[in-house]
Parts: sequence; C-alpha cells; structure tokens
Amino acid sequence: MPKVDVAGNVTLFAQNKGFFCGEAIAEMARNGYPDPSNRFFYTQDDLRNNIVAHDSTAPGDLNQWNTDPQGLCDCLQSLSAEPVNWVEFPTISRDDAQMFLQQSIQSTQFPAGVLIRAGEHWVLVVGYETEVDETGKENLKFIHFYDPEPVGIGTDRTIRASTWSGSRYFVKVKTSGTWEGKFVVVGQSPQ
Amino acid sequence: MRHQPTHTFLTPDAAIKAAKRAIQENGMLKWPQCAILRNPGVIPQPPMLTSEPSVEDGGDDSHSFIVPYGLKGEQSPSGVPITRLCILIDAVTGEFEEVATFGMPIAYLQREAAIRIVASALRVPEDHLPVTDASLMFQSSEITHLRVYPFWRIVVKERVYYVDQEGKLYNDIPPGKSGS
Repeated sequence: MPKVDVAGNVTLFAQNKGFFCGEAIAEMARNGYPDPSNRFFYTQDDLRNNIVAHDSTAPGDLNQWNTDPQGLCDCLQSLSAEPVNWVEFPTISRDDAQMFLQQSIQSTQFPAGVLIRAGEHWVLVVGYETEVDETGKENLKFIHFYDPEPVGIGTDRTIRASTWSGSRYFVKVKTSGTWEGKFVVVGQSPQ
Repeated sequence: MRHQPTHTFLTPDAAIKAAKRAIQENGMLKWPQCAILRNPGVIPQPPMLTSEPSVEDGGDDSHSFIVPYGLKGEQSPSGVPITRLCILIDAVTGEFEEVATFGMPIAYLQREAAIRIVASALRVPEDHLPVTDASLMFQSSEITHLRVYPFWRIVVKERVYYVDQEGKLYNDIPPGKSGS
C-alpha cells in the first residue's frame, strides 16, 4: 500500500482566532518546507496582513472570504523564492483535484492547503495512503491532514477515503464568485 | 430542520468494539499520529453519540459515535476524563470514519455542565430547568468545523439553545464565513 506522508516536516499549529484558519495553514506550510534550512516561522497576525493584501478584490469575491485561495497562495509565494512555486488549483473535477493534491505532495514533499466543507474551512494535507484493487487500479484509502481547529488546540486527523470524498468534506466550493463550483487545492506545482 | 433517526444505533459497548477493530484492522498502532495508543495506560472513555444534519434538504441526519481515548485516571480539575485522541465510528454500521489526535489534551464539556450553563443564563435553578432534550450535534458553522468537537443542543420547552465545548451559549447556529 503506497503511503506518502510529510507530517514529520510539519508542526501542527492551532488557529489563534475563530477566523484564522487560513493564517494557521500558512504558518504550518511555511514552517514545513522539506529543506529544514528553508523553514520559517511567521506569526498568524503577520500572515493575516499578508493574506489580506493578496486576497481577491474581484467584485464577486469581496467580503466573501476570510482567506481565499488567491490570498493563501500569493501570501506563501511572497514569503518564498524559486524554485518554490505555490499554485492555486481550482477545478470542477474531483479526480483532477485529488490527483493534483497527491502528485504535489508526492513529488515535492510539500504539504498542501485544501478547502473542505464547501469552502468554509482550510486544512493542510500532509499525507495519504492508497491501495491497489483487484483490477490493478490504485485507489485512495486514507487522507492525513492537520486541522487548525479547535482554536488554540488543533487536530491531527486521518480520514478514510470514502468519508473524505463524501458529501461533507472535499466538495465543491459553494461561495459565490471566482471559486464557486470548484474543488480547490493550494500546493506546489508537481514536478 | 431536524429529522428523526430511522436507524438502530450501536450500543456504546459495540462502538468501543468497533473502534478497537478499526485500530487493529488499519494498523493504527504503527501510525505516528496515533502513538498515544501504544501507551499501556490508554483506555477508551464513554462513547458520545453525535448527530449531523443532512447537507441536502430532506436527507437523513448522519450519526456517529465519538470514542475518546485517554490515560487511565487522568482527569481535569472538575473530574472530567482527559481525552487525547478520538475515533469516529458510524453509529449505524460501525464503520471507521476518522481518527483525530488533539494538539493538546482536552476535557469534553459534559451534559450536566451544558445544562448548567443554560440554566445560569436563564437565571433558573438547574433542577427547575424544563429540559426536554440535551444531545450532542455537529454542524459545520462558526461554532466548529470539527466533527470530534461537537456542541450541545439543549431544548428547554420548545426553545433550542446551543453550547459549544468552551461553554459559550448560542441562540442559533451561526454560519461560518468562507475560508475560516
């Protein structure tokens, strides 16, 4: 059963405030690069300003989000240098989003931010496990992620694939605007 | 809208057995994030039945058992068991859904404490509060996005109150803003 997990590189941080999940994701991600010499800690308050400065200003997105995908992605890239390459991956295809997520983590060893619960909440995926069925097809078995909730506590969660792909977790964004109807991952461009 | 359950739920003992089965079948003892389970002092605590309203109109609520684990004898100052890790089990089928390890140990808000908070807010003696239902529920919202961190739904006569794990009282379930 192929298993990819970068949790050993990433420290779980809880969100400091009820609406700081994006800031906590950025904090964990920036402090969890595969190269230990390139791990930097930024406070969530610092990251808040950076995210606000990069959040979408498109008319349909204004005031809809605390941290939108562009804000998270551009915040992380602004704190990084090439060859680090944070990208947004919004797509209407769950399979494409899941494939991007797995390839991103597997090929770069960076964690990836994912919007769950129709866009309400960010989590940081740090690993996954697959299994091969009788036809030889490789299927997702578990997904491993850090959740910055509860506030001040945080949680290390491993969810079975059918729950992750069900109607409540990795589902299309319902928020109107740029990302509506899309699955959203913010990760490293796979190599 | 709240739906009446149409299924028979596992007993709490069966939920614990399902959690133990999940640990064995998935090899969780070898998972670094579940290292606490290798501690010989770890024991399951009383499972907690939690409901989650359907995300689709007319759909059935889903029900899960949170099976908490903690170290034997470890309690909060108020005598509540300290929880380190939870296994979430489908309350109908017994299937494993999730394992969650908290970043730091927690003590779940107990039913009596949640009722006490409502009584205190209403300035009514606790034993005079006409509670018709007190149950744990989860709904993704400003209160929580975490199924293993549900809130209490307390019905007093026909009015519904919600109490989160920090003891904060709500009149309704506030929707969360996106990306929170």
